[in-house]
Amino acid sequence: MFSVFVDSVIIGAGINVLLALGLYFTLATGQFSVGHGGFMAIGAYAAAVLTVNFGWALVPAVLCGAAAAFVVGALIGLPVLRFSHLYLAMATFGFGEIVRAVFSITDSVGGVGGMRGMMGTTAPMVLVFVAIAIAFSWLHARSRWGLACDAIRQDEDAAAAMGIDVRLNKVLAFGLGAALTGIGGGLYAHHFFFIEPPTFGLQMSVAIILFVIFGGIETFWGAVLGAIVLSLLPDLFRFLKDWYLFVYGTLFVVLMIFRPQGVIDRRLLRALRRQ
Amino acid sequence: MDLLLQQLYNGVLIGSTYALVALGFTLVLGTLDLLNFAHGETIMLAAYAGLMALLASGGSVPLALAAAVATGALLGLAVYLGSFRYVSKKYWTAPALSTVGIALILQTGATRFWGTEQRAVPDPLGDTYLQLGPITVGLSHLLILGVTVALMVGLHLLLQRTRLGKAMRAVAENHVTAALLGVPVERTIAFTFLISGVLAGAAGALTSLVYHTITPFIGLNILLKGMTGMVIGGLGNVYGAMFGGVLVGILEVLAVGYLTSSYQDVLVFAALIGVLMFKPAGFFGIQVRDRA
Amino acid sequence: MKVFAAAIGVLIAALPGLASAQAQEIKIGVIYTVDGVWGSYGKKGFQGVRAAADDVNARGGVNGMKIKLVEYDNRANPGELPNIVRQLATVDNVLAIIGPNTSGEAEVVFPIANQLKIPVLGTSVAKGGIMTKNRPWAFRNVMPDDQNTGPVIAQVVKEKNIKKVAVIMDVKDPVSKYMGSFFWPGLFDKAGVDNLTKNDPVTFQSGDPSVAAQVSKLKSLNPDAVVLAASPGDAAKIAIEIRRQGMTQQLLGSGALVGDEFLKSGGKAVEGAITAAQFWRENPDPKAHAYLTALQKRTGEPPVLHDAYAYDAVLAMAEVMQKSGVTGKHADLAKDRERIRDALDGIKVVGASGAWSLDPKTGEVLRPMLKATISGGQWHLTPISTPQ
Repeated sequence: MFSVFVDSVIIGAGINVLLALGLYFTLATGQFSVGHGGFMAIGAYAAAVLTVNFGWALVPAVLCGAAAAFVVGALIGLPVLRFSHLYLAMATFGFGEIVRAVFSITDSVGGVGGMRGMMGTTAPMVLVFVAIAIAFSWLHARSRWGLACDAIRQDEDAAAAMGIDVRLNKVLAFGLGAALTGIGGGLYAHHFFFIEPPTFGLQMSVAIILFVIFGGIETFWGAVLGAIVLSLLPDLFRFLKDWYLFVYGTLFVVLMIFRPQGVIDRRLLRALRRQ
Repeated sequence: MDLLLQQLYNGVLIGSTYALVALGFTLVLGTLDLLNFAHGETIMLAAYAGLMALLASGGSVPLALAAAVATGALLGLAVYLGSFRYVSKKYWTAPALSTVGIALILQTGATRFWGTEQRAVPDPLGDTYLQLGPITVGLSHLLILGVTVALMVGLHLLLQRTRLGKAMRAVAENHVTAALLGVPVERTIAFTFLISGVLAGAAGALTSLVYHTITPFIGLNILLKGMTGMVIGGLGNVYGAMFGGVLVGILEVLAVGYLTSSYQDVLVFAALIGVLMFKPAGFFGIQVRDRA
Repeated sequence: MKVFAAAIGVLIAALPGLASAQAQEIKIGVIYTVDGVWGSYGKKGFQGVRAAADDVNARGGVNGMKIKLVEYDNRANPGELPNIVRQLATVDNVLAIIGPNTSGEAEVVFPIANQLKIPVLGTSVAKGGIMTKNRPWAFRNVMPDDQNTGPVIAQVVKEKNIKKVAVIMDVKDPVSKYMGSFFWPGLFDKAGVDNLTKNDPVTFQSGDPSVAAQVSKLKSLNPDAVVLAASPGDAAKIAIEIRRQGMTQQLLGSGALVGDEFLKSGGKAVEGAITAAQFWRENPDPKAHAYLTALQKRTGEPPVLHDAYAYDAVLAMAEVMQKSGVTGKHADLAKDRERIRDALDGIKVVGASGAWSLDPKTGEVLRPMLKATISGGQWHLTPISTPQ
């Protein structure tokens, strides 16, 4: 689309936006998942198997991967309905690790040796997916459905008292979030040409969380912004060399002290809109 | 049968170090609802401090322990100040994520300073072994078990018999009520972090002795084991953490000895989720403010 | 006055143009990382390439042009690699790439380099099977673990009259898992040695803090020798536990174990261990010795595999560029890269790591093999065969 390098940057950032939006949807109902790497893995491996072993075209394969992730997401969403924040965090973390462990012992997708041969992600493709995801998020935020999610996040019991089907919404949020993250995973596999189970472990789940937390947890624009900025950071800050990781860690400590809600919050959004 | 007894012994030994990890982690969790992700790296750095002291003093165990415990305590306080004191609790994820940042800083610092390669930890008590029936017991094992038990007893006494302990239990129950009753909440919280750091320091020194080696990457792995022990025993429950930690050690050893370690992770995390789903209070009951 | 100022302005603006017109550079891209579990490889890798570039430039460079290294550290994060490789190839416009740190990263770097038609030479990539899909642009001058180890250990097993072995393997590390699941069983089958763990493997996971349970299991099998299919740090840890539990068996391993980490971290426990090796620091060949001395002068530390191979990578590149008349000009970029690729096929080099050559079909390296024994707290290497 543009140059080889710029395309690569756009694809990388775009994939991260999809991953972040996937987490955001789950987070929107107050469910903090530390295992979204697992959904990414499902989307990635499913799409990879379809293109490499069965010769599918990339887009249908990615969508299939998303569907698989949706199903698993909804299934996970069911038993954790009653969990409080802490328990949910630990259960989803456990889920993410189980996914990684299962792929490690599944030799037909390469086991610990990983799977290679995927290719074909292009910048236009990623941008189209991102545009659709953002449009969807935007509509969701303005709809009654979005309001319902908000209500659930603020106070589940009050939301239930108002007649909102809390269970359905929460499970749907898990499934949908998983699907979006799964799309990111499928595109990721075909951009990196190689995937292995450790890629999708705790580090990845935490990285996705950081996109959302940094950008702002109160609106979906936060996820988008956080993903884009943090994707560009490594390339922009290359001059830091050895100090990069120190700066990165310090950034988060400082951010949590001065702006724990992330860069974009409701107030900022309203202020920007007024202009 | 012989092999089984030896394996059980291995499990108890390893499990007691996990118990120390779980204890430190659960103290902060119980009092503050905070998942301190820097706990693992605190343990790692304390272990390195202990190693340096051991080497510098030509094998003095008390000095190594002291160095490790001091480092743990200092880092505990650092986490208190950096991730808790000045961070708004309105967003419950903020302190936890701040500890993730601290963990990254600590680990990167360790790799810069000591390199990424594994180092040997000399056994200060030499190669002396006792043969208790079918079980081979090393002198350093006795040291580890001794210190662990002493710390657990000490913690129990602290919590039940001292003013500070009572304050800690009050704050764990309910911050507001405790404040109303005249408990110096902020200071108690700081002390909790300190004690958690002391336990981390001891865990660091002892684990490096049990495993004879040390790398800058042991933090996360040890933390996960401790966390599992904590969940099994019941979140925030000190006695549960002791039990849970030892149980995890035994389970792990049996799994590895009789199954294959490929399934180790799957089993451990399935167990974690299982306990969360079917026995969320753990085996000893929860004691966190945020009930399931 | 204004005209004078304008003239100065034009001159100043033209200076860079004047400067670059004089100093044509040969740009070589380098990707390693000093972070993460394999950070020591990257640290040594950077040292090796820099030392070689300095030495080559001191001798006049490549046909009078200086080598300029364009270095990237991907901070143990494979996620940065797609952008880095593309930046090197299409923005920095380097002629070739050396690196990366590990096999996992090579799985990402090699296909991209192959797609962008830029030569890439790996110096610490030990996993089998990476090269086949990434030809003709990918090369490596490090021998994969299995290729290195087979002939050496087959000989050792005969010499020491070893009849029964037990293998302990890391199931989380791809190379170790492959070695433990396929390579070692295959080797022992052919050598007629009884592999006690063939159907009931003894396994652990990288970074597992304790291997006491596994070692107890090994002890109960009572083999003549124990094979450590693990990375150096973990292998040392296992060795220590083996000695702690009173086992005195011979320890065997692949070439992956050679180095300071296994030796120093293992201490007394690894005394007498025998492995394969491919890098010979005490190589009597005077040319190799000269390069090793030069390398040590620059780094201040005795050379190891990772800096020596990195050093040789730059040497090979320089030789190849010199002979094939690479111009370094932007207009010739594609042509230069082709020249380098063609010349690397079948190249024969004598460098800090001795004499080696690259197979024109597979891009794999052919090197002499060595047996390595730890005795008296030191590694002792002896050559056993020369290929071709």
